[in-house]
Amino acid sequence: MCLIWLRRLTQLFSLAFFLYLIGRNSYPLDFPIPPELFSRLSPLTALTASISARSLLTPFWPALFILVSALILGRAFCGWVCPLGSTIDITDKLLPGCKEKPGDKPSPASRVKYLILIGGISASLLGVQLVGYLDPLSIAPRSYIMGILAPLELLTRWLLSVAKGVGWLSPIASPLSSFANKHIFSFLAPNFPHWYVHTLVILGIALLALWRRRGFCRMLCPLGALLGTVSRLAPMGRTVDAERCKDCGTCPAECKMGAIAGDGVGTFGGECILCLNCRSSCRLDAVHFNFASPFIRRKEEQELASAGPSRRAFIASIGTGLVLAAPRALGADLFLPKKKNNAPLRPPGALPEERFLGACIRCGQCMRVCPTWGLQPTLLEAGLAGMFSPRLVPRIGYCEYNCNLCGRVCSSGAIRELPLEEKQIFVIGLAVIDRNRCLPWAKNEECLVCEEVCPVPQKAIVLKGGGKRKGKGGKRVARPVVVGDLCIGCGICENRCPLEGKSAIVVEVGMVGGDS
Amino acid sequence: MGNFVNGYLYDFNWKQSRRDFLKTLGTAGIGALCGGLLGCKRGDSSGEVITVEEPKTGELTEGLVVVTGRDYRAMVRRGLEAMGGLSNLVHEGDVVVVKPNIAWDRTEEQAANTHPEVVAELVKQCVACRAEKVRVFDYPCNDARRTYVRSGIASAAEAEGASVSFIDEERFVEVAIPGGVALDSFLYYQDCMDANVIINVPIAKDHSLTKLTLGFKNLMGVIGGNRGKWHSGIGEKLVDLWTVVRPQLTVIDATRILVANGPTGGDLADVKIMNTIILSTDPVAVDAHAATLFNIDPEDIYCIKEGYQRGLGEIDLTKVNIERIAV
Repeated sequence: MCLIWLRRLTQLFSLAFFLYLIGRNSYPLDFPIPPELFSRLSPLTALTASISARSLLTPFWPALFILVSALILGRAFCGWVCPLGSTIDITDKLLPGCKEKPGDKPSPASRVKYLILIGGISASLLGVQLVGYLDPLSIAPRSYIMGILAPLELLTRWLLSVAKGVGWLSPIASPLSSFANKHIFSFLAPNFPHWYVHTLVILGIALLALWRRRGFCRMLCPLGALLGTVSRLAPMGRTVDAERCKDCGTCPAECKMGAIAGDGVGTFGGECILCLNCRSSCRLDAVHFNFASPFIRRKEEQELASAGPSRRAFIASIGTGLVLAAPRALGADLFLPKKKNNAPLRPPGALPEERFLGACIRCGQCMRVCPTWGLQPTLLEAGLAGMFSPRLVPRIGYCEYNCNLCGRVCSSGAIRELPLEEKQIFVIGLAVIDRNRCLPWAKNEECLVCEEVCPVPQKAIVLKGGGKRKGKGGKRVARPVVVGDLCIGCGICENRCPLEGKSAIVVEVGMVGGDS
Repeated sequence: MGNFVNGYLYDFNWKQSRRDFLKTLGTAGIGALCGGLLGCKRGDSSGEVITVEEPKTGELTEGLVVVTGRDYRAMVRRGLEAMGGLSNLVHEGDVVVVKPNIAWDRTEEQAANTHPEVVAELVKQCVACRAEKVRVFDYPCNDARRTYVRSGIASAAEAEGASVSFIDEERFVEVAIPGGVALDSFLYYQDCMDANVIINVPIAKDHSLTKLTLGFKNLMGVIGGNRGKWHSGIGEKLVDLWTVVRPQLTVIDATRILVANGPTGGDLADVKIMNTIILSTDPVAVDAHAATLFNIDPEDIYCIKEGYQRGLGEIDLTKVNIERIAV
């Protein structure tokens, strides 16, 4: 029993630490532990991102620990550490479950994750990163950052600001609000216009509870499939004392992974996450977790059907992965932007587009750290295979000239960690002035905001022509012009343009030369 | 985020998500709670326009004090002494706002922000006059956390006992501008309105449209709203703005000035070392004198001329008593 509580405490601590790290993933980034640590733990995204980016992505070195742990302890990571797994354990308790009838074979649904794993790896051979969408160590940070924590913070901020205005509430709300501002809230209120997409993803995962407990882990999780495969070499595992076991049927019903055969003795290979529920629920003390030769275990398992895919399914999933990836690899992604300058702006230090999308594991850490919330998840702006990758949206937030935090927290190296001097000359895009909207150009009204805020030391926007001041005699005011050679596309001009709605100066990619 | 983005874009999204919340998460309970709360009178956004009383005036010497030297702290001290001593302005229990320029994420040698030593010494002198509180803040254009640190001002001012804080978006109040030419009222920062004494501490810099950014322009750091829209007819607006804030003392930091590519700068080649500090109670004369450091005729700078025409001070430096001190 006490081991169960040890497991629960470990899960709670792990989840709390994961959330704390998300909190610390912001300026000035001074916490000694890298805040993106959890998204660097997946050996699976390490593998697929390295294959699809065609280079060994060294930031993933911590994933080796998970791999080694799986070689010794099996899927203990899933049951004890994984933040998404722990979240699902919580939501499983909150949602009404469904009675399941344990059988002699693992449920066919549990094979799906192996197909996803194989499909994902084969897609990465074509340079397309699909695993990031389903890897729990990408889903968890992405969904928490944008789908849970951001809307929760906005709601709390709003409730506090309303409460502060209510006479009898304000003595409580005001100190609460200043405490939260100092210690909990982000410096600027989170600004993810598409936050609900990520809420829906995590909600969908939670709702799988209506089908099975740990439904995502059983059926969909490609990392679980990988660790499950590796765990077949692990000496740690479940053994049942057949003499003591009275086949009471308690533990198969208790198992949240459906990893125990109906007789209570057999364990389906690769499914057990070592949560120890079966051990603690056994009143006869017949269930043990101990080290044993993995070969003996495999022999026992062979009498049961293991959860792995059949040969036919294996080949079919390779085919499916390749077919899914092929349109992108052949440049026929239906959602690819038609014009090059409509392509999304990538963060400073991003690898060239296709390699960037190959390396990016969609963990969302860069979007959390961006101090202006300028980095936003794409939907279809970069094509179907570019979904959830980061793009700079200057109208929401510009790229701070002296900031290179996104490269510092990138889990995969898709955004390179540039020294500040290099980052300051990295060209994200080019600002283009819309002369039909720009106040001095279109209306002969004085305005200099874009030029004023341009951080380039020699000013990538200059005011040209006209008198220095708007005269009564119909004189022309000075008008802003972009100096193409100097502009780095940081977007502060687009951000600050005082026009309502769309800015009169817009940063675009793929433009050559200025408009001077 | 500094500027107008907070004024409408960010605000827009914030409201948007609030609305989405009510749609998606708005169960009857939350809806009823919110409805109930909204129904209550909200103190902070009553739409009231505040009028300010005439601020107290100190008994500092009129005219200009121009101090040159290399020890910026000593220069500030000598300058204040020459004006009759800060104790003639700051009294026990006063709440003082020292308003430097902390707008940009630049280091002190890049000359985009006020020199931290100048700010710190002013804070120290205010504390020595037993001011109850000395507040230092600005509404920066870059990320405030960065500008406060990189400018060196936050740590230097705090070390002397200042209360250094970031702008809180919720604390702008609409203040009437009696006799305003371009503006009837505008959003001012609460802390600025609450202060007994305001000391304006700009850095002298190049600024394309207004040519130079000096004392008048520095007060843009105490207003909210869509500041980007200000640049049309900025001269009148800046002077309107000044008439509400009325800093009793302006200390222009011209220890090093930015002569081109302002107000952001970044290239040390555009920085000119002047080792000068200009102090005055006259907002027009002090800006006019600073303009001459750039070899610019004060009459060419619209807000200075506008301030003179409205009788806020003297633009003709030959009519101003200038005391020059070398430290």
